[in-house]
Amino acid sequence: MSLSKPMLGLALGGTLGLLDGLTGFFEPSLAPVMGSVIIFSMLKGLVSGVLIGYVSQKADSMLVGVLAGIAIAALLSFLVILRAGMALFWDIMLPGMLLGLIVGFCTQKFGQDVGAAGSHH
Amino acid sequence: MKFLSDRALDRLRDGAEIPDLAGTPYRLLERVARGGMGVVYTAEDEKLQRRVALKILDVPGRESDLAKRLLREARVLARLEHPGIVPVHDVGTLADGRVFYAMKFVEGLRLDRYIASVNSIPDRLRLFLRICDAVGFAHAHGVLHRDLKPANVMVGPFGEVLVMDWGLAKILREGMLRSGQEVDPEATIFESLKSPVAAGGVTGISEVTEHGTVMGTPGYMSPEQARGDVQQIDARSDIFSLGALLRFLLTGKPGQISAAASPRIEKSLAAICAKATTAAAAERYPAVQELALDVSRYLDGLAVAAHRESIIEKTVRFYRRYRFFILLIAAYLVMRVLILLFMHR
Repeated sequence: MSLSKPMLGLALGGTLGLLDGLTGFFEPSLAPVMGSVIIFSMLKGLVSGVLIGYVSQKADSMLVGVLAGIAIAALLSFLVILRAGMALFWDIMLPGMLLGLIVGFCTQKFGQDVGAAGSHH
Repeated sequence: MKFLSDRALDRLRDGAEIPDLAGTPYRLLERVARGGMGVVYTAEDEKLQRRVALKILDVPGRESDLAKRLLREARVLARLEHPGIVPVHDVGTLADGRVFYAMKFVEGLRLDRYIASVNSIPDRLRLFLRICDAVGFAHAHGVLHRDLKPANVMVGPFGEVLVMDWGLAKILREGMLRSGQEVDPEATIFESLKSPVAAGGVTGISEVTEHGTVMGTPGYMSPEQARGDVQQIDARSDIFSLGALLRFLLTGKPGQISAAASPRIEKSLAAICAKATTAAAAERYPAVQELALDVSRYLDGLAVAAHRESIIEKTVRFYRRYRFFILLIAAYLVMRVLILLFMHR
């Protein structure tokens, strides 16, 4: 895998966000708004991913990457909760934090450090 | 009637062979191996106080074909400055008239012995790539090895790979030698082609001398080399040998890979070997770099040029390449569904 950390975060965040949105099909009450749910979940994943990747690039530490991932994803999830209502707090917050944890871990472990690669030239 | 045992005769012969290094900066240490042309010894360079290997010809005289070949080998090596090619330090003639050259003493194991300790196929392929790197470098400088085989590759204690024994090397380009030197005075080597090619008869290709029999190693020698078809020998002959060497690294034998004998060799690797060792030179990889590229692509989990994959093979390769992420996403999905079910119990 030779993607930079923000690009890997973007790809992984987008994929997990899309899957997160698709799980809305398990909830019949979301049926009328499934299109918006999928689009916003994916957008949230993309934004979370690129931000987490950017932070991972700045701080070369697994712990910082994972914690920053959880924090960024939680913050974005909270913004969604403010719009969707507190009744869905854990429905949105738990998957969001899980996404942040995974993206934070993967960007630190598999993402290419662009600065380090450039220093070889 | 036999007065001396074979062992005693061997000792006497070895004693008679011991070279007199007077007048050289070397002090003899021990005999390492015997080759087709002579014997390799280890010696200490007393000026630089380092160990070297001395390749000393069996017969005296600078004008013999063997001496010319040894000198040519030394000159070829001296021009091929590459980490994968053993460097030559010195060349000269002993007091008894025998020609020698001094090269770096390589401590390590021959590839055929070293490989027993390397179980992982990717590690073996990475070794192969380093051999390709050295051979590709030689080809780029107009030199063919013509005797690539596991016994001619050494692996040092730090994993450094050195291609040895360039005694059969063929120089394709005149530019390889300085002006004033004869062009490839000893090239090949085939019994059936004893009559020398007239000077200038074959532009840029080595002359054929009166040397010996077909040279090369069965199993690693290309068909055109085995036929003595000197006009057809080019980089693709070495590619054949590299293909056989790759097959040896994968199966322990240079011959064809049969599904029954080696079920664990993947189709793409078997196809790379098959393409490199096709009897028709035109169907082989045109350059060592392309063979190496295909092996690199295999190592990177990409499709190789030598093998057209089925959909199933493509899927399996994609899964292997991205296994971690696929499993991670699957785990995320499972957790996501579990959270959903738990929240709405």
